[in-house]
Amino acid sequence: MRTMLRVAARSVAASKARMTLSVVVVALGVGFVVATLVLSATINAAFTGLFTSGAADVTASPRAAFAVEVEDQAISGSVPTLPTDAVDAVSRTPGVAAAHGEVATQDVTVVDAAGQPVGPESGAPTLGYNWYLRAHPIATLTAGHAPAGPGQVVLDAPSAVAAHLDLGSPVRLVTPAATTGATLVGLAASAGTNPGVGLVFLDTPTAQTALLGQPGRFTAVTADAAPGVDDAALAPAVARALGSAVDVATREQQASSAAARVASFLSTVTYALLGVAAVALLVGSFLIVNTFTMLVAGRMRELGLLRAVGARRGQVTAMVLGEAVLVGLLGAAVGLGAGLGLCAVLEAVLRGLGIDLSAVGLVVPGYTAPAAFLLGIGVTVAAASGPARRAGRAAPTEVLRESAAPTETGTGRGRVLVGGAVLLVAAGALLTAALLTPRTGDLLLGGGLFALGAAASLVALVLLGPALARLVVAALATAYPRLFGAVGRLAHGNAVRAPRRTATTAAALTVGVALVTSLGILASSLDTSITAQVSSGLGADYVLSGRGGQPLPPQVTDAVRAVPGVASVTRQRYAPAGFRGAQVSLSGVDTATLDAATAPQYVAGDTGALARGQLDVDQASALADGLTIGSPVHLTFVDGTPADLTVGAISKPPPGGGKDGSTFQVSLDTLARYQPLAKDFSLSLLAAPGAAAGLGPALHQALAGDPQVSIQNRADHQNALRGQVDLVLELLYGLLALAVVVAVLGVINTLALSVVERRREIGLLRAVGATRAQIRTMVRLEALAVSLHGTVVGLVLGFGWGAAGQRLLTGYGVTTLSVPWATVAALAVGAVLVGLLAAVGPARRAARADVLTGLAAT
Amino acid sequence: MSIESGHRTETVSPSTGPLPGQRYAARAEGVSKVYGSGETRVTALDGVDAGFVRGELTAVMGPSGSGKSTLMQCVAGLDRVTEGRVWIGEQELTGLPERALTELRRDRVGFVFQSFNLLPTLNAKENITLPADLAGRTLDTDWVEQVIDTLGLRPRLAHRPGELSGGQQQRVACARALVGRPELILADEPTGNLDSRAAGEVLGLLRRSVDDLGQTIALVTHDPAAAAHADRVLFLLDGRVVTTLRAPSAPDVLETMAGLEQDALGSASAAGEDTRETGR
Repeated sequence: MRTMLRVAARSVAASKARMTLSVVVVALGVGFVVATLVLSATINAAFTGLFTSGAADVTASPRAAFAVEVEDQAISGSVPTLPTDAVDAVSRTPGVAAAHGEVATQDVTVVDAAGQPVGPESGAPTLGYNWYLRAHPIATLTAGHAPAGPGQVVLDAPSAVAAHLDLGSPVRLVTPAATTGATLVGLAASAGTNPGVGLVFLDTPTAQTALLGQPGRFTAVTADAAPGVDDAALAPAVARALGSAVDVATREQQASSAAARVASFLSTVTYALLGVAAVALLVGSFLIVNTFTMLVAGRMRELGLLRAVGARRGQVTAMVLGEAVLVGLLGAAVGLGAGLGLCAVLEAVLRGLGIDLSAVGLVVPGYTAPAAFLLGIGVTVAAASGPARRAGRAAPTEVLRESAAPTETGTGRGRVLVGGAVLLVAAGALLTAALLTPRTGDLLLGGGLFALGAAASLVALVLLGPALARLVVAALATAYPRLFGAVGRLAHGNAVRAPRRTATTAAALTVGVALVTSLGILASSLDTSITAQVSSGLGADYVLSGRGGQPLPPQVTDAVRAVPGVASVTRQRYAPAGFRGAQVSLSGVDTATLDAATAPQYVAGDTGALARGQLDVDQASALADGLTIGSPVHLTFVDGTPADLTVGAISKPPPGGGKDGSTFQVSLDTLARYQPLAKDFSLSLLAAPGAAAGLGPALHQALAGDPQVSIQNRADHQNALRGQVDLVLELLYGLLALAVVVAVLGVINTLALSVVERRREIGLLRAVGATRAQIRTMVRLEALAVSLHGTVVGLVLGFGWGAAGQRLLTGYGVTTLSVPWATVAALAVGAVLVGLLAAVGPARRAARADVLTGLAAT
Repeated sequence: MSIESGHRTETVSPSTGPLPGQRYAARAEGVSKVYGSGETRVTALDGVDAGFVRGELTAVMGPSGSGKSTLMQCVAGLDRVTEGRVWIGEQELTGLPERALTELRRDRVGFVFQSFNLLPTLNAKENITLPADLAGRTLDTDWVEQVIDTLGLRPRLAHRPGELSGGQQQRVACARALVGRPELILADEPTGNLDSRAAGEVLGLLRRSVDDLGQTIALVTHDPAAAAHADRVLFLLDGRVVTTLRAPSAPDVLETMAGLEQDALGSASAAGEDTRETGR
């Protein structure tokens, strides 16, 4: 076995140039995975550090009926609090060195004298706290003094600097509870890593009135442990002192629950990025398959010799696999380095955007390196296993074989039959998903079928590829001989001589083109659906909401009502509620004007049911939870208030709208019965006849003092929705570019290797009089045939996925199928150009080939 | 020094040939070819004068490394000389730009190689017309038909090389060379990979195309039986033409070769072709 390994190592060394691109694609895929893992771990650590750096040894907070997601705590308006007594009770507990009342909130907007918002522009929240001496400080003062007395505020230095605020500058603090004037008396720097949030500190009484609107109340009680007292031992004592109405957490528990919350948010992003990496690796594995296939084919004589002198089949196979391991090892090592490098670059970029992760540094989880090598070697070995088995089948008589570049014969009838069957399964699954889902609204089943269909169509692509290549390439290239004469005939012959190789090369391009096409169709459909809905004349003329997603103070609603030309104001409030152990968003709406303002679409029931105190549930949740008209629903609010409601209506979510997960809806009156403190979250305005044009300026004027309110008319609303769609789309296109790059590398790789493989043929052609230009044309035409094939099949596949996806998401408001023809045309032209571009290097090399090298005896 | 004198009497004297293009289809004058430099420097050809008379079959013989293939590659425009001059007909090759050289090869030289003569993706007919197709030239149909029938290839025209025997493949290569009516056909060891019956067929074919069609052929070989089909045989040793025989018999050739090989054993080195990169 040692000998075989030595042969393997020397083979890799001897065919360095041919292995280069295989190493590169492995490195690209692995690098992307490494970067994703490290970056998500780093961001996780940074946010966890932020949430826990200020955590006290033991924190007691009002018991929540269920765990509320961070971003939803702000919107309910009903912040649960503890009284001052609780602080006293904790301070009397043995083992407690000091107890403090804490006020913490996210519902704060800082505004400068000119009415401009102060704070992070990245969309990160501004957190408000009362200032007190902490054992584990959130922030430390860098200038001025601590807030003492009403009208004194300390801000985080980056926010103040960005807004050109100096000590003594006047600011206003806007919260759902109140708007408070204040003077900047100090600047603070975050004690841990600050991933870009804004910080506001007030003295305790001011914080209670300005931030909470509840004098004498606290959001939590914190305790510093006496020296030598264990946090874990202290926590139960604190809990006993306060009774059953509180949740108690140690510093360590705070940290882990914060980490879990951040992780659950990050995991979506992480999975999306890993998905992209998987696509890149899949596409890259096609390249590796081709490389090894061609290396094995070119070495049949050598392998035959090994067999002739006594190597067993298994040994020959193991030798080729050994080469794959080396390539994978090398690719993984390069990818690991590149991924870490990429993270360092990204960290610098983030720092430029105000997100400073330097305090945590790059967090490289222990599993990163093993994962990188496992992935790199695994993918390479899996891709090389087919060629390796073929190498093992090399007959000892191969030594005697005349060596011409191999021509494949047959595409395998069994393979075609199985491929056809898989294709039928794929089509069936996609069709079922497309036809069934809009009717039932069962996204889970539909999504599963869709995923099955997409996966099956990929498998069918691989199985049917060679037969398809022979068909499609032959059809595409029939015109070649007529258009390009002898060179065309040669190119045609070369493109169809190895259908399996052509198929594998084209498959990489096919996957990229199919993904881009289907995403383009989905985005275009969503866009068209939004436009159709918004321009249908239904719905509000203006929608007002808080910029950071915070609720609107009551005076905003009053001010809006007073603006002339406003025909109706439809309020919407939110409260997080627990339903069967999961969080749902329960909104309360003005039922009198709802139909005109938001044009809800009901599957069953109507707005009248809400007015009668019944519940409206969204179609997807109704299906998932088995709810029908008349079903009883038991909800629990954060403060523990129970609510028993009856389903009176089932509705469809608006295009591009709705929050993730369940959205339940009741009338404002119903909501007020359980959550009287809930604040207005958004206002939908209808203009009086003829007043719509002048309404915008009037609203801006009326709300000049409330810059945290975003005022959107229909076009703004449409653009905002579109902007979100476009942002996601651009991001995905950018990431898919990785797959396309790998596909292009694949085309280059195959062409380059086939030029090497056909050295003698090209030499012969040159000897009998083919000019260099003719050789170049021949290689380019081959590339054109392959990339056209990949593009055509990719477009067909992409149309299938896109159309099925649109039907699948009908329930999410993607109601109209729309094909972005311009994008599709650009994609087709681009893919063909890419093919030609890929041929530049190999064509030049082929043309430069020495006539005599080709003719030299073997 | 009888060998030396033979060399002098039979080869062209460069200064005297008044209209060399009329007598010779191809001609080399003082041709040297050197590969590499410094310690790896190998002189493959060392001031060779040679002429290929129109309408004759000229064989070039010599032991391995004598430079016979190199000479033919230089004469046929496949390779460039280090020193000296080469003509095809009246066209001098030396100093010709790459493209012109390619076109000259395509239009005025035909090739038959030892192996790998045909493009595997083209059928026999397409291989035969390939040079003309590449040139965008139409062939004389009657002539093409005649060549095909003469070589007995009619039933095989639609077959690809993979479906033909070695002899058949070599006949297709001959047909490809003949249909263009080139100034010179270079046949480099055309029988090297064939059994004796197929080899006999191919050699007979080459002989007939000289006798019946007036074709000029240069045949590189180390098989005395093959050389016996020639009108003249040039013998090369260590990059020089050392002797020439006219219409020899196979035993004559064998005897001359044996003498040369004796000399080769005596000489200091026998480098030449063997040091050239021959692919894997």
